[in-house]
Amino acid sequence: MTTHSAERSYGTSVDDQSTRSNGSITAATIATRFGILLCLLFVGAVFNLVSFSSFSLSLSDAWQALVHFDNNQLSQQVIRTLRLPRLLTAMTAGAGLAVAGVLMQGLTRNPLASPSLFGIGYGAALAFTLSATGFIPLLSVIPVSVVCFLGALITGLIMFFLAGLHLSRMNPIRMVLAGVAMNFLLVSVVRGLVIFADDHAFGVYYWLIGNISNATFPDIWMAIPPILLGLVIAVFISHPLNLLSLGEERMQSLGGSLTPLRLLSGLAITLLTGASVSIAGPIGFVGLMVPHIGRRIVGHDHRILIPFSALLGAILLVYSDILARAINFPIDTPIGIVTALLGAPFFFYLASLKTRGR
Amino acid sequence: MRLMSVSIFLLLMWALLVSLSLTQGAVVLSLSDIWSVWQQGTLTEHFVLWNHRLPRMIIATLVGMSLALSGCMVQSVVRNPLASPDILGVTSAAALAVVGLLIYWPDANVHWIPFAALIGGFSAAGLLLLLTTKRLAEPSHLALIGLALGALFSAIVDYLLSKYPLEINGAMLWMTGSVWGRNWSHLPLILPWLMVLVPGAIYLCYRLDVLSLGQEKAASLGLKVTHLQVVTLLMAIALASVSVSVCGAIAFVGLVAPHIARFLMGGRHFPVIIIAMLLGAIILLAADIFARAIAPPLEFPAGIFVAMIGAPYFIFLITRYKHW
Amino acid sequence: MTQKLFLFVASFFISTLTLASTSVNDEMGVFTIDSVPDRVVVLEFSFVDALANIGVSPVGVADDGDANNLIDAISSKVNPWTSVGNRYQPSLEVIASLKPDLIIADPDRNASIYEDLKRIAPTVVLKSRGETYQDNLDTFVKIGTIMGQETAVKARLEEHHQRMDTLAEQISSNFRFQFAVANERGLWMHGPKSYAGSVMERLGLRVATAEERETAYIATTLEQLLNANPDVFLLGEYGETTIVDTWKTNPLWSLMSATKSDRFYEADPRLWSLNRGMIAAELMAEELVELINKP
Repeated sequence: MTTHSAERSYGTSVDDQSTRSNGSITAATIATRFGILLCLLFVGAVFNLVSFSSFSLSLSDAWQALVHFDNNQLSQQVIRTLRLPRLLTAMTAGAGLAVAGVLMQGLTRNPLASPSLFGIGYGAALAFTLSATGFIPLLSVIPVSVVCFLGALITGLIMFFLAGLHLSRMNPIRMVLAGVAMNFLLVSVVRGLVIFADDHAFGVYYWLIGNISNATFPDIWMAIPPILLGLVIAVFISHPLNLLSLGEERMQSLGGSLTPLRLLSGLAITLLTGASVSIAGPIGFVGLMVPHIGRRIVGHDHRILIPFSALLGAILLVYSDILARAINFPIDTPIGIVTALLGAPFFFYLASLKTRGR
Repeated sequence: MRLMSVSIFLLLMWALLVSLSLTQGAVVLSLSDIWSVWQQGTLTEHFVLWNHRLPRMIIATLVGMSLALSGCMVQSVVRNPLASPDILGVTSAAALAVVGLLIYWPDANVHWIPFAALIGGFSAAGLLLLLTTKRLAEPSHLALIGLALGALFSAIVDYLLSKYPLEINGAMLWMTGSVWGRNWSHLPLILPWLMVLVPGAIYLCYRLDVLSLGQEKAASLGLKVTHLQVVTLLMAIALASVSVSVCGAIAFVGLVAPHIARFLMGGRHFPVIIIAMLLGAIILLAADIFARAIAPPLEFPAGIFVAMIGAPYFIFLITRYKHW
Repeated sequence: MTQKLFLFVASFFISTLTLASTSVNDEMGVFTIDSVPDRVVVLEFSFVDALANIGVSPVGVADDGDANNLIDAISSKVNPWTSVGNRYQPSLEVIASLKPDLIIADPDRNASIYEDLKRIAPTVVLKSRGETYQDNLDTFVKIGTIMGQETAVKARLEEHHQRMDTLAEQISSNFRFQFAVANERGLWMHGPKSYAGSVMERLGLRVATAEERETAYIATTLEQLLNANPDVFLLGEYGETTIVDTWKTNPLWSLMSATKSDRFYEADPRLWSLNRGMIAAELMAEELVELINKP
């Protein structure tokens, strides 16, 4: 069948060329690259705290706001209560979406896979839209982040069975197809509700593109535990994921077992995506883009790739957030638009690299 | 034989939907009413039937067929189960052209919207082929570039809509796809294309079967692989652009109809194409009936119901399919 | 010869008198109608307001399937109507079955079905969605002309302006005003290009976002709201809880001029944002007077 041959040609394409191009990375180079990333993150974070404001914010304000906070100073207030939660949201959601992307691509062995394929993002979006447009009044009593997270969890659970993760013989194609179908279903329902909502439409639409302009501390505190749990699980399953990239047969012959791996990655993807989306909206491209960049820089070993991608995802969103403020200053552009505008050229880069390697 | 029985079954289903499509809606008619309206109807009934329901039914059928065929052709070149007309970036380019027209040229005549969409779609296709000329032999390369273009265009659309929020409803409506308000004047926009491209696709079936054996093998059997791929893609792009220009960006039909057809018919192209077109017509027609008869006088965009009908059935097929 | 000329002139006058053909400039060019329409179908809320002001009841309204979308002050002035569906996709079948002799449509939403509408009944396309206060008055005059009620329109307009002027005198203040809508995830200020903003300017008030002339609805964070710093802040909330509930717990919220001087009010988003028209504008002005003169 066509679908099967397609899987074979696709399943190998990522693995082949990355092992070829990154075979000779030493521990020292990897440490250096992590170091560079940390510096980038620090610079971006500081800049994010003080740049592009309607008020003039200085570095010393930022320092003061973090170290000895004086709540009579307007500028320190702005940094501490508006900029800081925004920065933390960018970092948390970036790390969460990026690692979810690594897991998704590792599990399906499809380089086009991303967390959004699993429908989880739009599961959260549907829950949000239902609550925001008042179609289910009960939902508006619950805090909106919780509603989103519940939506994501329920979708994750449904997808788990639809994708056949509970079966002993699971096919990545089935998973991807089921994910696409689910995603389309949710997207259409959300779109229908948005059109119907009329006057609310732009409110919902802003959120659907992904937007962190109005981040708050309570939301972040709620999102951090599931994201941390997801990251821990991801690191925990990084070795079996390496085995899986050799193919299911090889993996089993090497003593790895598939079912627990699938269960745990499904759980981690749901936790990471659900929590990220609930605070930042379904920001696209982070989960798709970051794993590819990560593989280019540190190679294919998931034990390194996962923490590296987490950092990279955080950096990506921190800088995107700065851009989001800069593009149309003083009006904020939704951050999802920035990641999409960055993501598109990235694809061209990816495609050109792929062919040069051959 | 299987092709015969499946297609007769689907044709009967389509006929049933046609009769529903003509009788149901905010004004309910019976089949005998249709006859009497044909003979001598009041102005209203005449309008409802001949200027509204009949062209709408025909447009839904044709666009459904065209999207499904486009999906078959894309999937035969780009061997990824996610392949659909959408990944070529055609849909998003058409959306960009239309949203751009709505925002920057609000006084433009609405009749230009289909042409804007068509031009957008074809420009994107031209760009795609230009960017991939040297590596057409690599379907995954094509898919990546197509996705990239699509992503770029939809990002710009999102940006425009966030700057001009007043246009969101209209643009969303167009991006979801709808058969509402389509009439006889839309028929010439799609029918001639189908009359050329459907026979063309059937003519290519055998070659595409050979291509599915693998590029090397196909080439060794004397097939001009690149040539065939370009022609097939161009046909797919034309079909997708035309459909989008008439009904807006109706997603999912192009992805799901070929898959379902393959579940039913196996891998050969001829039966798959025939069944996929029938399925496409059925899905879109059923979606449009739901869209306007579920809560009259409210009308919903058919694009929503495409996924609501298509996705559960597709998921059902996925879970029942034994040969994973 | 003279007799012939006389006959010709006379017949010309008689024909114009009996046919009473009226024309107005609409968004599609020139709209001409031969007789005063009786059964009117409207495809936007603001047209109901216009008709109500000259005592005409529409037979069909695109009210999104819920008559409560119109504020009582407007719907109580007209007879019950038949819903013709959503504003974005009105049902052509229902419109046809109402057998209207005039359809009033919006250029943004209904342009694509203009041809179909014309087949059902004479269709005039007038600005509604995204209109300002002045646009709305122009539309009212046109609708009045089509309905053959120029005198009623003149009288009503005069009354309206008098009323607005009286109300404006009662408000007159140097405060900077702002209306905004909020949902759970964001807040949008309605600038001078929006209906609410332009009504405020009509009343001679200063709008806090006076410089923003391009975008009607301005996406706003708490940081930007502080920067705009309105002295009187009206908020229309969609939903039980909105982003503003979170903002209220932020110490920065109390630094805003409107909250400092306790001039932060909740407003009905249906009145301030959905229902545009003279009745709505007067109600908005009355609400402002009441709020400002509160001790």
